[in-house]
This record gives sequence, C-alpha cells and structure tokens, in this order.
Amino acid sequence: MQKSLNSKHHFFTRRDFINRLGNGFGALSLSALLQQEAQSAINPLSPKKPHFPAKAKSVIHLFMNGGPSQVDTFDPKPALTKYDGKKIPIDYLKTERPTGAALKSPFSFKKYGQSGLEISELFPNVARSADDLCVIRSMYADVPNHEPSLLLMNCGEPRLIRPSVGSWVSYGLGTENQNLPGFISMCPGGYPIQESQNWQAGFLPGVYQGTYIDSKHTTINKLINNIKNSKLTMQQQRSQLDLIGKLNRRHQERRSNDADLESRLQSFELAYRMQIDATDAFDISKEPKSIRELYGKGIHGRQTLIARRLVERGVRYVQLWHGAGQPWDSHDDLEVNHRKLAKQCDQSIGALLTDLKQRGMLDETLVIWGGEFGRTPVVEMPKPGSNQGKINGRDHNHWGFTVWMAGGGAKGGYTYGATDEFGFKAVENPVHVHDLHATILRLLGFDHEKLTYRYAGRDFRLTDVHGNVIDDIIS
Amino acid sequence: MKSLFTFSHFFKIGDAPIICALTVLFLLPNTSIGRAISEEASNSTKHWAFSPITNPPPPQFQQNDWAQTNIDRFILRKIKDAKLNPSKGAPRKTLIRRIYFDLLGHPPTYSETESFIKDPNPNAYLNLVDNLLSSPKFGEKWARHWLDVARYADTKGYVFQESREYPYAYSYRDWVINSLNQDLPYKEFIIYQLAADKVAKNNENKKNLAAMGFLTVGRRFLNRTPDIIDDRMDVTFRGLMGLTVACSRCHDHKYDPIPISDYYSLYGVFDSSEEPSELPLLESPNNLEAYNSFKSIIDSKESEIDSYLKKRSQELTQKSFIEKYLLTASEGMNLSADQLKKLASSKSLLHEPTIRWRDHLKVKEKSGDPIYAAWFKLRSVKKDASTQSLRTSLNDLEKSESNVNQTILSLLKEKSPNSMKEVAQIYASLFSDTKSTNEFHKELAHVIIPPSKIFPLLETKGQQHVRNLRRNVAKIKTTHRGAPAKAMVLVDRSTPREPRIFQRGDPNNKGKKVPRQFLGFLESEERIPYTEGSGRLEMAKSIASDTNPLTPRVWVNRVWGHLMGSHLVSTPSDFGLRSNPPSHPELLDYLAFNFIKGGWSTKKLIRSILLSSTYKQSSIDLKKTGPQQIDPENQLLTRANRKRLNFESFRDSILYASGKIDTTMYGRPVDITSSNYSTRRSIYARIERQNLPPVFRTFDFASPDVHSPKRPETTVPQQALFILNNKLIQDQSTAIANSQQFNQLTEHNDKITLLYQQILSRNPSNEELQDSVNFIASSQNQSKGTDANFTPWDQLAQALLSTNEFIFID
Repeated sequence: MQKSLNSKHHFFTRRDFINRLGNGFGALSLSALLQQEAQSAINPLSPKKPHFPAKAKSVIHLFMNGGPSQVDTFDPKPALTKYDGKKIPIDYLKTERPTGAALKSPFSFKKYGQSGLEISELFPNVARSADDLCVIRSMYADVPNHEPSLLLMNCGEPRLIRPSVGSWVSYGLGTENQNLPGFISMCPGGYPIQESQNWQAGFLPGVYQGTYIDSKHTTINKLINNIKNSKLTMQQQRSQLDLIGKLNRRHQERRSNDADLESRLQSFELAYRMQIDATDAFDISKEPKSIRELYGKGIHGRQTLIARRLVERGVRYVQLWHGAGQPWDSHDDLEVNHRKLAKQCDQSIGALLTDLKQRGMLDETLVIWGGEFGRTPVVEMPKPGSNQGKINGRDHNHWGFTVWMAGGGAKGGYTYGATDEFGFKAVENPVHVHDLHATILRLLGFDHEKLTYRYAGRDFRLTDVHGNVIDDIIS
Repeated sequence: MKSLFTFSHFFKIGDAPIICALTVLFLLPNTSIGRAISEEASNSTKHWAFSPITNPPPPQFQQNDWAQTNIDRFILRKIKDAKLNPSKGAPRKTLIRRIYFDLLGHPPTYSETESFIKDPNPNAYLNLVDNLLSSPKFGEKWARHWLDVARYADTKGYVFQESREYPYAYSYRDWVINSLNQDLPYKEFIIYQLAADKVAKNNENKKNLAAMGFLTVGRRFLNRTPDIIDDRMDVTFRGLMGLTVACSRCHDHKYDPIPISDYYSLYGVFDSSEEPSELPLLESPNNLEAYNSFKSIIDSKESEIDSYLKKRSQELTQKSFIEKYLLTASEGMNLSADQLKKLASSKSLLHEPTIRWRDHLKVKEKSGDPIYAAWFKLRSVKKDASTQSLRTSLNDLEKSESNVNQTILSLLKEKSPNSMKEVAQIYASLFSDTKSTNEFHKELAHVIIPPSKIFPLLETKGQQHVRNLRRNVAKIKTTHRGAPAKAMVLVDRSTPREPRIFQRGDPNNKGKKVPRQFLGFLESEERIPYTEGSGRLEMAKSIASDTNPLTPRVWVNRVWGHLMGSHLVSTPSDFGLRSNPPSHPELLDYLAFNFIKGGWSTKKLIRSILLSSTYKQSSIDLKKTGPQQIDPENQLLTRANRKRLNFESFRDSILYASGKIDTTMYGRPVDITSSNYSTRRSIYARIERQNLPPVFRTFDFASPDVHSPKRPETTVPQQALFILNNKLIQDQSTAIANSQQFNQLTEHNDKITLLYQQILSRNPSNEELQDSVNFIASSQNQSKGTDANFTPWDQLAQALLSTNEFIFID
C-alpha cells in the first residue's frame, strides 16, 4: 500500500526508513534496525546520509549584510584607478540609484601566499589563509535591492515563502549533535533586514528553522530560550526527570512501547544534556587564552569563536551576520565605513580559518564569506533622502560581486570567474546565486536536483529549476 | 535540455517528483508540455476526485455487533478483507478525554470524568457528544483548525514603511469561532469568506463581512500585487478545493487539467477586487464611554495628520514660499531635472513644485508674458548689482517697446527693490493675494496642490513625519480598548479588470486576454464568463456548490483527519492527479454525499463520525503480531490513533489544570510569550508572522506564511526544555500545588491524589502514590534549589504536567 505521505511524520516515514536501510545498510541486525527506526522515524534531526560522500560536513556562513564592495576587497581593478573621476567606457548598468564616474579603490592590494591571491589591505588576517580561499569573482544576482537579494541568497527565491539554505541542509542531513540546535543564526544587536525570514523553514517543518541568537549577549539564558532552570539545581532536576521517566515508562509499557512515546521520553534526556552542552558550547572562557586572543576581543571575536565551538560539537549550519540592519551598505564614506567594518571582522575571520586548519577541521567545514550583492565600481550620486550626497560611496551592485569559500572541499588559493575590466559585471564564468547553492549542496554531498520536499503538489528544491554545480571550484 | 521526469525522489523511493518554477518554460520545449497535458487530461476525466460524488451503499454484514453505523461498515469491509479485526471500544475514562480534546481542546475535569464513568444512562455517550458540540469552546478549538487553512496572522509580515499591524484581523478569527459554534452551513461559511461584501448587505448579517479576512490576512510580499493575489488564490483553491491552482501561474499545470489561462481567468476576479480605503464597521460600539474616548483620540490624531498636510499644501501659495520658489526656479532655469532637484533640496524646497515653477517660467519667458517681463529683465542684471542698476533696468524697461504689465512695473518702481530677493518678495505678495479681484493669483494655478495629493510630493522627512503619525493611528486602532472592530473586506473595483495572461508568470510580459470565469474542467462545455462585477460571488457559488466534486470531499477529509488522527486522503490540500487515492474511497463519498444532504452541516458530520465504533475504538494494541505488522501505519483503522496535543491544546490544558485559565471569549489578540503572559486560551494569542516567537515553531504551530494543509508533528528537545524551564509551566505548577483546596490537605496521599485529579483527571495507582511519596521525601532532603519557593510539591505538579500521559490522547 502506497502511503508515503500519509504518516504523521509525512516527511520521513518508517517505511521510507526501512526502504533506505534496505538500500543503504542492508547488513544491520534486526534489533539495531528497529532501534534506529524508532529513533529516526520520529526525530527529524537524526543524522542522515547525503547522496554522495560529502566533502563538507558543516557550514559557517559569514554574512556581510549590506553588500561589501568587491573592488575594495577581493577583486582588484587597476583600470578603476586609471579612470578615477572619469566616466568609464562601458554601458552603465542599472543599479538602485544614480551613479557617476569611476571611483578608484582607496585600498591597496597585495598578492598573498603561494597562490598569489590578491587581497586588499582591508583583510590582512584573512589574507594569511589566502591559499585556502576559493574566491568566486563572478557572482551575480537578480536585482539591486536588499530585501529580494537577501532572500535570494538565503532562500533561493527573492519574494515567495521558501526554506533557507540552512533549513534545507538540516532537513537533508539532520544534525550530528542532538543536544544542540542543528542550524543557528547569530546576529549581534538585533535582526538583519528581512529579519527571521533569512533563516526561515518556509514550508518545511518548523524544526528546520534556524535558531536565532542575539550574540550581543554573553549570558547563556539570554542566548538560548529556556536553557536554564531558574528554580532548581541540576541535581534536583535530575530527580524530577527520573520521576518523569519512571511514570512515562509505566505508561508506555501498557501501550506496546509506542515509538512516539519513547521518542518523547528520550527528548527529555536530550534536553537535560542540552542544558549542559549548550552552556558549554557558548562559554568561550573554556578556550585557552591564546585562542581567545587569536580571535580577538569584542562581539565578532566572540561570535566567531562560538561558531567554531558549535561546529566542533556537530552543529550543521551556523550563520554569522555582521550586525543588525545592513552594516556593509556604504552609500557614503565608503573608505571610512569599509575600513571600520573590515577591522571589526578581519581578525576573527582570519583566526577562524587558521584555527579550523590547525585543528584539522577545515577540510570538513565549509566557510562562506559574502553579502547579498556587491557594490558599484562607480560612485553613487547624490539622491536626496537616500544618501548623504557626499559622492564618496558606492551603490548596490547585483551584476557582479565576490563570494569566497574556504575548506569543505573548495579549491584553495583559487579564483574563479571574473568581472569586467572595472568590476561592474560578471563576464567570465558568471555564477548565479542558484549555482552557488547547487555547489554548496554538492560539497555537502547532495545532488541539488534530488534534495526535494513535496509541498502543495510540487517537489520543491532550493534551486527551483535552476542551478549548475561549479565543478571547477571543487578540490 | 533537462528532463523533469526522471529525478528519483530522495526520501520517497518510487514517487515521481514534481518540480516546477516560475520559469519552467525556459527549460522545456512547448511540445513536451502540450503532450504531458493532453495525456493527463484524458486521465483527469476519470480521476476520482474530479468525478461526481456518489452515494455508495454501505457493505452489509450478516452478524456484526461492532459495526454500529454505516461509517463502521465501510471501515470493517477493509479490515475483514485484510483478515483482521477491529479493536474493542475504549473505556469511558479514555473516551471522555479523547472527545474533550477533539471537540473542545482541553481535558475534562476529574469530576466530569467520574460522573461520565458512572452515568447509568445508556445514552450517556450520545448526551456527552451533544453537550460538547453545543459548548462555545467547540468554536475555539475548531476555529484554530480553520485558521491553519487560512494562514491567519495578526500582522502583515515585512513591509517597508507602513504599520505592520492588521488591527482587525481578530474580527475574522472571532467570526470563524462564532460561525462554527452556530454551525453556519459550510456552503455559506465559504460564500461569506469569499464574497460577504456581495451578500451581507443588510444590518442583520453585516457582521458576516468579517469573514473576508480569509482572503485579506495574508502576507503582503512588499505590496507586490501579483504575489498577494497568488497567495489569495492559493488559500482559496488549495484550502477549499484541494487544487494546486497556483502551479499554473507560469505555465499550464503539469499534472492537473488547469491551463495557465484558467489561472488568469481567476486572477482577474481577484484583481477586479480591492481593499477599500475605509474598512466597514462591524457593529455599533457596545461600550460607549470607551468608544468616545477612542474617537476623541483618533479624531485628534487624524486631524493632526490632516492639518499637517493642509499646512504643507498651503505653503505652496504662501508669500514666503513663492518668493523662494521663484528665485530657485530662476536660478535653475537651465539645469537638468536631477540638478534642479538637488538645488531645490539645498534650499529646503520640494522637488515637484520647483520643477513646475521652472517649467512655468520657461513658458512665460518664451511667450514674453508681460507679467514676467520685469522679472526677466531684472534677473539679467548681474548678481552683485547695486540698487542703482536695478533701478536703471526698470527705467530701461519702461522706455522699451516691450510689453510690460503696468501694475507690476509701477509697484516695482514704488517699492524700489534693492535685490532680486526683494523683487521676488514683491511678486510673491502680488501672487499670494487671495482677493477675488486679484488677477495675479492665477499665476499660482500650477502649484495649487490639494492636501490629499501633497503626500507623495513631500521630502523624505515630511513623509516620514506623516508615516509616523499614521503608524501611531494604526497603533491606537490596534490597542485602544474603545476601538471598534472593522471587517477586512474586499470590494469590487468600479470597473472590473480584464485579465491577460502573464507569460511565464511575468507581469511585464502580457499575453492574450482571457475572460473572468471558473475552472474549465469543472464547467460544462459552454463556460459562461462572469458578469456580476468582479465575479467573486459567482466564483464563490461555483466553489460552494452541491455539484462541485471537490469542495465537500476536501472538507469531510479535513474533519475526518482532525478526529481520527489520519486522513482518508493523505494530502488534504491536494486532490489532484498526483495525490494518493483515498484509503477508503467509498467512505469518503458516503461522508461527502451525506454532508451535502445534511445541509452542509459540519456539526452533523462530526457527530456522525463520533458516534461510530471506529472512532470509539481503543488505541491500545498489545498484540505483538497482527495489525501492527500488517498495517503499521494503521491505515485500515483497526484501532484508534494515539494523538498528541497540539501547541494550543497543550498550553490550554496546563492553564485548565491550574485553574488559571481566563475563558473570556473574542477580542484583540493577547501576548502569550512574555513573562507577563496572558492566561487566555491560545486561540487568542497574537500571531506575529514576521518574527513568530520560537515557542510556536518549537511546538509545530502551522506556518502563518502560507496555507497549511496539516501540521508536522515533531519531537525535539526544545519542547522538553520549554516544559522543564519555562516560566509558564513553573508558575502553573506552583499554582496547582498552592491552591486553597491543596493547602487544606495534610496527608501526603491526599495531596498526591489531588494533584493527579487536577492534572490527569484520575486517581493515582498505589504504585504511583508510592513513587510520589518517595519523590517528595527525597526532594525535601535535598539541598535547597535556586528558588526555595519552588517546593517539592510544585516539582511534582510540574512532573505530572510533563508526562506523556498529559500530552498524548489514547
């Protein structure tokens, strides 16, 4: 009887599980099988195998919200200096606001590492890991506005309700550590634009939604809901749990050990351990001084170090936002603002790459850096009400921008694709956001066309009907 | 070219996946779509869900005591065919708990349970069913099922500047509760929700206007009309008919017989409807004092907005402003529009009036208008010109042949201006004089902009000011106790819009015109386009029709699913060609047929299911072999499904157990997640769709973003963390173990018994008594916790609230 969608756990039924076991691990003993079945049929976050052997097991996405300028960071354009203050000899593409002459980068670029990857003075610490970076210089998106571009980068769709990348990955892979949420999104001081929609589960079950954490806080009960009991000691709570367990067991015995009942019983034990494990994961005082110093003081140092601790503990997807609102949105005073923003995060990102590598974790952790789009190589012109009219900033640019990856199977010391002479538009090997998503899923072991979820009569996927894996950047 | 038909589904082996997107036509040659459609079309005429509803005769059995109703006969047929047997009836203590949760969403009290168990009346169960069906709490429980269908929320989601609140969403929620309690025939229930504006015209049924929140409480998608309409169509067709019409937004439906032209025929119906700027009042205010206070505040706030706009409108014809505009427009005679705007901003002037003044001056200069002759003459004098040279120019002008307005010339001579600024002042005072005899006043015609039109012309700061004031008005409308309820209606546009196909779903790529009309595959050969306004009422009548094969089937399937814990059709919002066939097709038709026959009464439908032996079965299956092995998903219903309380029932049950539940019905939403939470029933919780508090998601609440066919049911440790550590449960545990009744007891056993009665509606067994006694004893010996006031008794109450028995329904 065909009944794959008729279960309460309609996304993952027992029968499916047995089918998958039949295909995957045929040799397991019956009792092990039944035990796993009991757990997996009910726990939507239990670890699952992807389609292929995965390169990356987890992801840290450093989201530079607001849109960092590619020509000032990872995509040097000498021609801009030559044309500084002059009209550039290409067709001006439409961006959000009026733009004017070429604006040379106020920052100098240098070659780093054996690869000779060119990186601007804004990211000296990141540059030390140049040979691990895979810089995609030919990213492009659909429109030059924050809202749709944020949703496109996070959910693969600019307007409609769709699950975020982290939700898809949690749905596909589950999580390695049941004592922690599988998908965590940290943003210090509030929400980015589009708020929780950036880590929405969309039509996927709510358990796949990103857990939002305001990383401005330092105490655990402000970081995670209900993580601490304000009334009882752990010992008292243990006795209480023992009683609950005893009552539940007795209740369960009379009900032919229903797996739903067992699973809920187990969830209390998980919750108990989560109180300890989560507190521990977020407590960076447990790190040696040298490591804390490596990451640096302040919010970025702390949240980045926490991200490493989470991934180390099996959290599947961690997103680190630069800050509330759209900090990288330098319509005016680009030089001052970009310098300030890069200073806030360069040390911690550099530390993350070094640290992951020295722990042997970089191979299995995919680090992604980028915004929802980039910025124009030409100066933004005054527009009352939308900028300060200083004529020293850059407008949004979705035509061409940079995203880099490191670790997790991405080719190190490598640049892929190119923008035009001035850095306006991706011209060589252009990579759409859908292609980036397809590639991220590939690194995690998925065929992006097969990671689907049936909803409203369709099998939805992160990449909709688009997306090509960029094989070239996979090591 | 990719084939879209060869993917194998990741988790569901053997299921063909269904992929589509806004741009699918890019990938597929038209021919393959055409072929797919025609193949499916021939299947569609035979598709069970599209065929007329039949009245199948119930199977007959020679001798069977178990089958009490026709429903049971359909169920028993399949069970017998599988060589299985149904389960015996559940005991009364189980039944009363099951039925309380299924109908009211909260548990029976201990004494209600006891009196039902002991009731000697052979009709005790029947009476219980009827009593509960007439309880007002029935509507509170079942409305939430419907609000999942309707993707209900109290806010709009992400919008740029305006207020995010839907101040009157609750009027829709309340209408749903009340309509279910009144057992409004489902047919009318639908028609009001789609077209109350057309049918609720007299005072008596004006309250039904609130029904249209069904269409209007969706997300706003940054106010992009095609997305708003798509969401409304989706909620209508998936919600009411189990049809994924939205799949045809960009191309013909890949499986179901819904061409893109049908999508835009229906799109036209929605696009010919609009939200009126002033929503209708639902009723006259009942608390006059509160209403008057609201009215006076709102009037003063609104008049603040009006007077600000009026002031900004009047400025344009005031002397001091005319002077500035004249000077600035003259200065910018040869600037580009962008440069002129910049210049205007630098002088704190509005763009549009500056441009109009400049254009006005250009015309006048060209035509040599005598009024402006002096202006242009004097302006040609160098900027640092002395009074002397201005005067000389005036004299020159007087002597010249050119056509000069004498009134102006003499005025200028009389005033003898020292600068262009003073010249502008003279012009400005002349123009601004409103005396009817003043012929110069007409020079301001181009800058007379009424207050109602001034807002879009204001500078950012001014617009921001008005927006803030408007947001404040919205807030008062949302929060003031005297603010009257309004209905979130749609009304027809004065002229209906003729829809055109958006090719590939792109509004900028318009294709052929289509008439506003219903779905072709459900209509007779000659489809008649809609004629009454938008056609919304005609559409509603087609949906809520005795001959619509889908609407009754979809609703009886939803009702069955809520009561039985599993659906007859496993995809409750997709009855299309790709859906799984019903597990019991004849039963589905039997239910649908009798639902129509019974006047579309939801309560009668529910009653017929509750009286069946199928519903009353025990959920406990102790046999190690048998049904569990043959039918692990219990599709044959050889026993009742064990159900888990949803978020609302779980939260309400805690408050019922503690006695702290506030049973006030209706009204504005309340906050249930802050530390100062409301103890109203969860149906009244404020649903903020943009940043829904995590507890909702943690407990599998339906996404308020899109129509929700059924809730997922997950078990994650975050749920347990909430139960162990959240203030709500701690507070209620304390309340239970500190009630007056509890405090009067001295014996441990009595105290424990009371806790069991209040929380689990039963007495503890001897074993359980002993466990609790031991727990209390050891806890009292333990060192004091962080909070000494959270006593071992409180902890015991919390433990009972945490048990599986509390949250699962046998």
